[in-house]
Amino acid sequence: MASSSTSVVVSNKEKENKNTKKVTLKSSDGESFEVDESVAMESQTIKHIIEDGCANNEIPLPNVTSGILSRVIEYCKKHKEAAGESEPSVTSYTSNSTTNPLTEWDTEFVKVDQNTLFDLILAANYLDIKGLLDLTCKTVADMMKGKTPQEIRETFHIKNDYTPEEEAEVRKENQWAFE
Amino acid sequence: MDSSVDSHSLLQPSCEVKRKRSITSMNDLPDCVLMEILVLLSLPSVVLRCKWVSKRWFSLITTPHFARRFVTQHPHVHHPFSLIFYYPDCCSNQRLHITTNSETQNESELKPLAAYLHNKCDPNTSSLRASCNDLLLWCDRAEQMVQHCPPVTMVFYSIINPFTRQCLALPPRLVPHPHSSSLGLRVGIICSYDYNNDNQHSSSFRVVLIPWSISKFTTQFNVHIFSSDTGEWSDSVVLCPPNLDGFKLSLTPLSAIPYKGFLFWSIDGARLLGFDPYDSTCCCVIEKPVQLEQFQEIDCLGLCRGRLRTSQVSGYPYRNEHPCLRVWDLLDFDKDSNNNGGRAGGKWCLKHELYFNQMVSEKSPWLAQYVTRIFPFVSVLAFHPSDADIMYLTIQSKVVLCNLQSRTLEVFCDIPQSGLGHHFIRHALTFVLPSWPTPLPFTETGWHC
Repeated sequence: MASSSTSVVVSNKEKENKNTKKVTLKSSDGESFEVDESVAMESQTIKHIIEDGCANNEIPLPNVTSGILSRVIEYCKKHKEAAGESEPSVTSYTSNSTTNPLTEWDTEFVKVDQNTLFDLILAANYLDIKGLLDLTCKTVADMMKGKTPQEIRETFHIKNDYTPEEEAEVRKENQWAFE
Repeated sequence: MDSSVDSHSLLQPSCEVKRKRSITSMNDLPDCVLMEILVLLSLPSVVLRCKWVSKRWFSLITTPHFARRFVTQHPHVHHPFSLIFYYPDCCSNQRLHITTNSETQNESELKPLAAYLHNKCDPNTSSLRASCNDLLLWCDRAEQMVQHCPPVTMVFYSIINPFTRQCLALPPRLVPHPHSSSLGLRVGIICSYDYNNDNQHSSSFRVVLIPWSISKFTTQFNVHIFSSDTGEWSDSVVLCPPNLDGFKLSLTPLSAIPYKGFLFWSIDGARLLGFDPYDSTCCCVIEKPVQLEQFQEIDCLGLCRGRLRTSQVSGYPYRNEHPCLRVWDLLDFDKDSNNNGGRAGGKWCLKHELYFNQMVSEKSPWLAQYVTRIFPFVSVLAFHPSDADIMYLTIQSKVVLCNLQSRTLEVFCDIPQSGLGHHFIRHALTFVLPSWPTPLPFTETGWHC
């Protein structure tokens, strides 16, 4: 092995090279986004495409619009940065989520309208980004807490496909569920 | 932030690119994703409310696959339980008591359950007779056919899951029975729900009735068994294990305890008779605990932390010795009783021995005083299903929590308006909510009875 100083220089250089490797992602409406490969690989779907050597010039994502894709990229960048700085101060031992800076950022990130939120869920599912899927699903679950079935339907525009008779039956036996 | 969508829509769309105009909503989520959202909710939320949002949600939530995913998501859930018992009130009417509070749990989880049972099960005309996990066996009514000789009774049973509010009426059954009330019938229910199994019969139960024949020693007995797999009753004659000379069913308790695939009833000599409803030839006996007070029966039979548990209060109430509460757990139960000539392997191990004069009470000193007086009336109600140090007694119109380890007594809840004879409360049934509620097969005509 070379002396420690040279090996450090080499690995830094390798890191640099890896960091600057880029890929281009193309949204369904034709817009292209150039991102660091490491950021794009937050998506397991993209990671597999790259590793399989199928990424030529750009990776088309026909299921994701540009608006959503730009947000997703924003999420991946932010989370990749935070993971990169894996100093003890960031991976907080306090495990108090309110002081974890990412939690605050995440909370702000999901303050969007329902349409966007569900688009993000579908994108996170398609792109297989666990953190984003968990975050968005939890946001929806929190919106459901404490709501009666009717309130859930109203909040999320779900059609009630029970007939009035069926619903009366259910209501009779479950009156406390509807409280 | 969201205007970026509009600014980019100026880019000319090629014909294969779809311009999104429609609003994406929850209805557009595939089942696998919807499931990931629903499993984050609490059990009551999912089972009581989300199931009724739409038929799609209903069919998603009622699959074993969903149950598995839910249980994996909530690995450390507690299992709330409720004690259910009857008592006479001051007008000598029967009342139903369902405990809803506990030391650590959220009260509101069980209150709807109690309200549902109070509404459905009129204690003066019907009775809850047995339990297994979260299923209750309910005797809606019993009609005695006086003109028959020997007398027979038509019994109407239902299975209730008070948490999910599913109720399934069993076909009525004619049993030879001399009494007009169904109280003398020995009954038991055993159920299992294996959500790791996608099979149609992953949820299954058996109900067993043993008509109370003459109280003489017998070496064989009739059983009526209802199977959820066939949807029908059947009967058989069961022979005692060969080494058992004969037995007599105990007067109380009447409901069986399900344990390791058997239903156990107490018989004379403080022994237990175990019967396997899935193999009606299989029957076993468990001998009495060694330290048992002679000529006395066991007071209580139940389950604690997955083990069969029994107790006896001895030296009381009409003797001069110091009353003592003993608790035994069954260890090393060997299902294959054929190895032991019909006596099931398994020994009672004395876990607690508590003299009444050792008991103390922090919040209610009168309790400690009461149990040391000359004739205290102390009934054993039930065991705590998951805490081996706790059991429940009834003393002076109160349900009392007895901590066997610290030897303390504390009031757990009141028994409202209890009348004379309140100390002769029948043993409590224990309802325990598992990680996922046990589903009942629906009848063809609809959901409910």
